[in-house]
Amino acid sequence: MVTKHRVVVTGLGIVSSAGIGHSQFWEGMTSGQSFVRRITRFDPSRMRVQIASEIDDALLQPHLSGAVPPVENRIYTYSEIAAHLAWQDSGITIEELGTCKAGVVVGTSVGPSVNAAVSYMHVHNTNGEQRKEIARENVWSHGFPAELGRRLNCKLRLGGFSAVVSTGCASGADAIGVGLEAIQWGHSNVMFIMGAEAPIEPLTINAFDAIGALSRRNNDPKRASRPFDRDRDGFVLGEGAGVIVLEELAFALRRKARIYGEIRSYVTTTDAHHMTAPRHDLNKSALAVKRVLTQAAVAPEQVDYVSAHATSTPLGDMIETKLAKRIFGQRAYEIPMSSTKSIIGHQSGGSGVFQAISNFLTLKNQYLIPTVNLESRSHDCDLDYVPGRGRPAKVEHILQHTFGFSGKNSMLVMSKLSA
Amino acid sequence: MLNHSENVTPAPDGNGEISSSLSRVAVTGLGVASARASNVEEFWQLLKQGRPSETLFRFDDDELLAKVPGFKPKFADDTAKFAVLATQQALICAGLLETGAESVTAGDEIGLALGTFSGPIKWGLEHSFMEAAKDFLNPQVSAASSVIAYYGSLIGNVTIPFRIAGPSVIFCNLDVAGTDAIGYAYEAVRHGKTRWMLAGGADAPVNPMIEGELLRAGVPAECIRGDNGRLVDGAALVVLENYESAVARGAHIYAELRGYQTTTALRTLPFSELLFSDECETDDVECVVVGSLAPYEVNNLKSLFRTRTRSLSVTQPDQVIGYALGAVGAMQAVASIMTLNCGYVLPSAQIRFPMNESEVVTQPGTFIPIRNVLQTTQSLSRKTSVLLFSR
Repeated sequence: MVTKHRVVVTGLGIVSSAGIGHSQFWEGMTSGQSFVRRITRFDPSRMRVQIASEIDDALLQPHLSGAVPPVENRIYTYSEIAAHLAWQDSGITIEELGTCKAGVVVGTSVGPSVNAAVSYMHVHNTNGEQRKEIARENVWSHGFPAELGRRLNCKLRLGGFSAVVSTGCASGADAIGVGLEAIQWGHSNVMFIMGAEAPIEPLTINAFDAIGALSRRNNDPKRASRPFDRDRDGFVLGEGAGVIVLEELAFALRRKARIYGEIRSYVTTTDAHHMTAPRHDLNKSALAVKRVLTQAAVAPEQVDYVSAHATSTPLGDMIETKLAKRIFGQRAYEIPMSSTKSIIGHQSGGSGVFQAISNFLTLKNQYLIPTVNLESRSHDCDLDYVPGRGRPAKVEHILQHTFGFSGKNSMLVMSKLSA
Repeated sequence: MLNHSENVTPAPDGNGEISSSLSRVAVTGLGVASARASNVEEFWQLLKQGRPSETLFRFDDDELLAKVPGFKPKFADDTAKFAVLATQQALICAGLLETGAESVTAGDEIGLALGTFSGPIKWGLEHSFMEAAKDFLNPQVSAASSVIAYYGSLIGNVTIPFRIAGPSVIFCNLDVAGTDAIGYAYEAVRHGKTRWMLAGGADAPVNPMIEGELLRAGVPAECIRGDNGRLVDGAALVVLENYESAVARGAHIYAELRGYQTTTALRTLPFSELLFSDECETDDVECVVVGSLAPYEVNNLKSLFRTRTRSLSVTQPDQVIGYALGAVGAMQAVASIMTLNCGYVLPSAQIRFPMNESEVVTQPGTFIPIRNVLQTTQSLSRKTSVLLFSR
């Protein structure tokens, strides 16, 4: 017989367009405004999509020792700051980390691939012998997702279980799930979970645009990300990094850590249907929700809030609404459901961690974040999406939906810590 | 409304934690598709010969892929193509897919854990990166490239043709990605997360980016490039299954996977933890399948096995079948499992003790009774992952 350890969250660190650090982030999430704007980092005028939720350099500057990093290195800067903030927030010391098994899981989809593209550009635009030398001198490893995990491990000097997970937009949620399991299964006592993405560069924007996923509301950026609204036309890319510190409950109690809440369960299923589109019959996503609630020992009638994926795509939001109705029946109309993406855009592989951070702040503050820009309901999205402004609410149990291309359905249940 | 009465989780005990029993984990399927071997039999014969094949398999005609009914090559790069071929073999081998059939039965109970290092980077270099180099501020990227050029597309490419609908995850853990994927899958089956896990690695590292990285690390160009180079594209997958379930359905059990450990710091730690947790003495291990025979790896073996090191058979499969980067651990795993299943120790390096590097000598292959094989894979970032297979 083995014991399945309970897992709690004891530290949060975030670098987002709404703010850096969880206090500033929460202020932004509850402000009722969107942080989307016309891209300022480079000249987007020849691109079809010219808007994003950028992290302002002025926000970033106080956390830097030098200059603001170029586009290709931003993901590393965001990650480093978020990890440092989460570590500080958890209050865990190097000595305490030395007494336990501690590790890292990183979730990212695009990752630092623009770093590789820029390196490639240098090689491609150079000739002959010089080209060979540049090929040799370029640090290509900085273009792989694995580099994010390596750096986080080095920074925190952790020696335990480590993994870098890349499952499209579900990467962040899957990273939390894998980290949760590392503790539940006895591989670790403490896990640092990171979701990171810096996709605001022309290559990634044009790639998402090529498949028709992005909003082209260039003339009205603040109103572009509008999940569940009748006039939604795609998502808006966001960026940043979020880090969550997970701990085995007994370890956290022993060191008298402040506890934000508990992660009760994680389940993921795969549609096995289409490379980008979800299944209309909801068979696999509903299966994931059913399993995650069962494993959490939380009945559907106990769910107080659904943290939605809510990307603002016409198909995705409609399917997610249908899923809530399939699971909760008539009660779906009574359960509030909202998401971070109307406010700070979609961080792709990082978004699952951003959602989770927002959810633990919801548990702490007993307050629901709004869906901004929800101005006209569409006939297929008719639930309570907390439109316009946030509001206080009693929240004990949260169901988090995160979906990804390739048919990923990743679900988490997070709760206030009970005896 | 969802009926919550099904499969209710056992009630927590006094401190709120839940106790449950662990399942044993059997290996019931194997698949290999690489530029040097197109199936497990070819792979094993090459390893037994102890020298690489002279011809390389390429995807010029996609002949083998045409035999995967539901596969759409439009959205797949080389990493995905090799993964699909190895998956089909492993599923057929495990009896989960009939030859020529389009999908598995019980797809909800089959999960996927796949490791890769460079993933779709080769595709990116040949397509989207080139567009970025031409016009960084407005690169022209096709819809197909957009789908292919992210690591997560491996999931769709592998699960859609066979209707595999359980949990799925891609690990990008450098050279140890394949070993970690198998280790994760092992824990998933052991803890009852799913009944079957398809696990392994796939990679297409024969590309300028990986070559550049190896050149920078001081590896001579002739060892990297061309048909004689050590880098190789390919995939290897295994089917892990709840042991009781495998016995009940009469599946052929190739081996039992007994343990997995990983660390990023103390390289010898996972070995001792692995053996300790599985109540296995070092004397019980007859063969070690290594990812390399670098001095630190040899030192790990010396500190673990001490004087027994001299009688240990140490095999390094990638010397024969090529170094498949993120898939190398999965290929090691197939070699480990075949070693147990056939009772045949591959041509191996034997380490003398006390020793230095010059005292690693090659031994011919031999038939001997083997009970346990230890697999160790390491990456340049100090990550070490180990698996223990038993008969």
